[in-house]
Amino acid sequence: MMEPQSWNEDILLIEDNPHDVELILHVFEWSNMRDHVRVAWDGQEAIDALFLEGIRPRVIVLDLKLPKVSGLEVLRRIKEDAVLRETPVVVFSSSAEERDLAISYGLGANSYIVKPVEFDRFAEVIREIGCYWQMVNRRPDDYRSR
Amino acid sequence: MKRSSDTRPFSQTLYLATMLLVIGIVCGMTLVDYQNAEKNLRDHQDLLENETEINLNNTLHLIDSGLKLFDDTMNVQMEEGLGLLLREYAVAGGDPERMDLVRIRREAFRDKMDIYIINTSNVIQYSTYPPDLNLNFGEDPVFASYLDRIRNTSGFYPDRVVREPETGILRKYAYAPTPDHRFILELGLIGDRFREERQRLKYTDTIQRIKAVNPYIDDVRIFTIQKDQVGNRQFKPDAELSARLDRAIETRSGFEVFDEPSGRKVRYCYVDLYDEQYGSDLSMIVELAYNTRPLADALANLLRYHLLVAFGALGLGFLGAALVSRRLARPIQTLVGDVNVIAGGDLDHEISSSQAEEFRILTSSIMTMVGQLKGTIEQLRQHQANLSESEDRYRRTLALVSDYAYCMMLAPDGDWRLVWTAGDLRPIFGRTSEEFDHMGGLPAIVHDDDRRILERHIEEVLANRPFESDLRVFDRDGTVRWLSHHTVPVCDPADGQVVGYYAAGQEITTRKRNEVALRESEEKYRQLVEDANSIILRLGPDGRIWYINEYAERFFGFGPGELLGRDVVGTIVPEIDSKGERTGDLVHAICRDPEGHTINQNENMRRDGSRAFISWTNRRILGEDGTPLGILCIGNDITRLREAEEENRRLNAELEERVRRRTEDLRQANRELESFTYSVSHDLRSPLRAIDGYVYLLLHEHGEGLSDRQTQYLDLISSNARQMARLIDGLLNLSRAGRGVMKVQDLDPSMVVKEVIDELSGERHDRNVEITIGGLPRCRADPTLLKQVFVNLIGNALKFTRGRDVARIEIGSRREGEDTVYFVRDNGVGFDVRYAHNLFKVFSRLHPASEYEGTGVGLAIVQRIIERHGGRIWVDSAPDQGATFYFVLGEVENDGTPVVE
Repeated sequence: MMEPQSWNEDILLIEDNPHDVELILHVFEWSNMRDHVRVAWDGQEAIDALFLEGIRPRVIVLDLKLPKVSGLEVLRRIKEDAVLRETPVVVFSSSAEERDLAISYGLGANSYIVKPVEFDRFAEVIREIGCYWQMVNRRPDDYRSR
Repeated sequence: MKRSSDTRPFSQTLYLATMLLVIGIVCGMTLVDYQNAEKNLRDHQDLLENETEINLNNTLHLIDSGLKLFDDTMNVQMEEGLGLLLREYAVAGGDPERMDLVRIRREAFRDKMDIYIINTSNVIQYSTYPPDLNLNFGEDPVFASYLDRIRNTSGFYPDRVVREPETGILRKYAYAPTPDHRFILELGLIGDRFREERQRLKYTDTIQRIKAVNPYIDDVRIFTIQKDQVGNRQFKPDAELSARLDRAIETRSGFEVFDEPSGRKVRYCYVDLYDEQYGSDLSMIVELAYNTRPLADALANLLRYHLLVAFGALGLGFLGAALVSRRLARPIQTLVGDVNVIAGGDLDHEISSSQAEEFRILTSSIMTMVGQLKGTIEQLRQHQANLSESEDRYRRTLALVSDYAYCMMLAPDGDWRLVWTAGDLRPIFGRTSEEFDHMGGLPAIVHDDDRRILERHIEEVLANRPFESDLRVFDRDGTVRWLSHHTVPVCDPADGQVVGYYAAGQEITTRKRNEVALRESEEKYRQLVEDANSIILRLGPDGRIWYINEYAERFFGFGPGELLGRDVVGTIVPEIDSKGERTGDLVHAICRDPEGHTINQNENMRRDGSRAFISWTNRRILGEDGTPLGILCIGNDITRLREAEEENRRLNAELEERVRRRTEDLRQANRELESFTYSVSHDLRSPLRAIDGYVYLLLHEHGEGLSDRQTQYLDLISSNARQMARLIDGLLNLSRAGRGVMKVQDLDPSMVVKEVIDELSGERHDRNVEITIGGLPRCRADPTLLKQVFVNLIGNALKFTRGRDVARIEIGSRREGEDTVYFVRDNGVGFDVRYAHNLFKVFSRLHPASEYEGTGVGLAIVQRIIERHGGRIWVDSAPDQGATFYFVLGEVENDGTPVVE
């Protein structure tokens, strides 16, 4: 069900590791985008947010390894939905396995980024994700009235 | 144009002929004309002469006639005188002595006439003219005869006026014989001077006239027969003239005298004026002196003229002849020229045509001939070509078969001389034709045992019967060769005589040997079949046993010959076997269609009912002429084999079951490993990230209050965390290298290498790196894994050459036998090869991490990948001498390891 967009929920971050969340948010902080991030801590929460609450983030950052409902399941649900499928999904995972890449893209992921271990690299990636998907990338929503 | 010394060109001949003709004609004509002209001239001259003479004659006659007439006028006078004299004679009584002649003369004749009295002796006995006294007329026979004639007659006989020889006075005489015939009385009247003159003039006129008419006459002189010249009283002839005049007088005819020196012709004409009536002969001799010079000159001129004309004519004639001959000869020459060209070989040369019909005919005939010739030549050429081709084929054929066939022609005598051989005799006889002939041919090289055969052969052939024999000969090194030798006598079709012997043959050594071998083989075969330890049957299409070998009989427990003719089913083949198969039907099917069952196995039974398993090979056999000889079945007892097979099968099944289970276990294990790895990587990495993240934040956001040592420790925590992450990555890579699906494909390693070098270009930044890529033949490998290999090897090479001024890295390959050995060589720091065995172990390092970073997993990964490709890897190095890593890839297919769920 359609609900008015919330400015606070431009980025939906679906991640179960609190440390990773902490670090990611820290980085967004530096770009003054912290307030634009909504966190879902597991798959179910993400689904609830998207399908029950009806949030419409501008970009979804999705970890694959999630409790309750797996990242791939969430991805599938998103890309099956007629409306939500337009939302770019960035898979953000520790796994560099080819298999995971294949399945993710197969389900319609718009991007797959491997989480670096080194923090400086990690921070750079986050920044870029924010910049690219928030600023640079065009989405169909941009042309609809807010 | 060829010209032999013996033949002349036609034109020349023609020219000569024409010239000769011309010469002949010209000369002839000239001659004829000249002769004609000459004759004409001469005739003319003669005519003139004749005319002149006739004229002269006539004139003189006329004159004489005139004179005669005149003379006769005095006859009367004289007659009277003589009459008077006769009377006086009579008076004197016939005695002249008594006559007074002087007185008579004076008185009667007034001294005008002289008297003469001629006695019977013709002598003037008495005369008044003393000079004539005793003149003897007897000296003049003519006159004497006249006197004699008139003496015995009577009458008056006047004579002509004549000139006295002595005095030259003219006198007319007359005679009268005395009646007594004793004397002739003569009177002589003296002539008239006037008349003399006139006479003389008349003659002179005549002469002049004659001279005028006839230009040839030089001079004319008229002489009396007394040799006096008329008109010239003083003339006295010289001896020569006298003689000539005498001649004329005597012959009373004219003649000609040619005076050589002066070239004068003198003709003497005798003008016969003798009248027998008169005593005196007043005949004259006319001397005509002709000057032949005018004639000669005229003739000379004529000759010159003629010669000139002749030359001119000849000249013209020669010219004309030349032109004509050339004109005539040209067509011939042209024709000759053209024909020569044709004869020289250019058969297509055209003959230029000529106007003359004969030439045209000739030309067309020649062209026809040439055409035919060309045709014939073409035919001949064709024949020749055909012949050459045929000969060539023949030669080639013979050359081909020289190895085993030969043919030759032998002379008809008993020596067997070789007339010719086609091809080379060496392959068969080991000798050249000359050697063969020299030795004496076959008899010299025939095998002793076959000599009798050869003798028989020769006997037959000499008896004109073609013969064929198989015999052995020795070739040069004593090897025995079998020949199938045919000889045929060749006869001359005309007379049936033998002109030679044509011998041909082929080497049949192999055939003979084969025959022997076949016999032996057949023997052996029989032996073999009999002694074989195989079951050998021959069955008819209905399944009846036509033949069974001894071994088979024993095997099946039957007696010798017991099974012959019996159906194989029911005797050694059970109708239904132990398993319930309808073997009987099968065997009958085989008998009907052996080709469909060349190999089969079925249960057989022995006499005692026990079973055996036999492997059969079935084949329909036909005789040489196609007659079926049954179905040959050769069987091998495979009972034991069968049992072993069964056992094998059972074991195999067991084994397979075990393998399946094991594989299942392994798969299971793999799956577990996969998920383990997966979660490991995930779960191990996250804490490390947290560590590094928080440390970073500490350092960068709260770092002012930290001491150096604190900072240092924090750095260490961070770096260690990163190191651990790298190790985990390495392990993950290793694990991935070890499992995962291999997608083997045919690829070009050099592309992979180039890709890797590109990707590693960051490592080469600011360094002097020389990378050489040699020939890298294509191979079969998983591209990703192979790339991993090169990433590690080249990466290592770059790492360990860091200390060099110029880092030299070589990637190439070489062949070792059938394998392609790839290598990566560097000129880096190298290592002691004694520790090489540790090199490929996980986490083993030969250099301290402080000098050369790394996880120590790279080479383990490389080795795992190479192993998975069925290959092997090894290394060569020495400290400070760089290192070379070698690897070979084995044959490997996609291993089909299923994707881990």
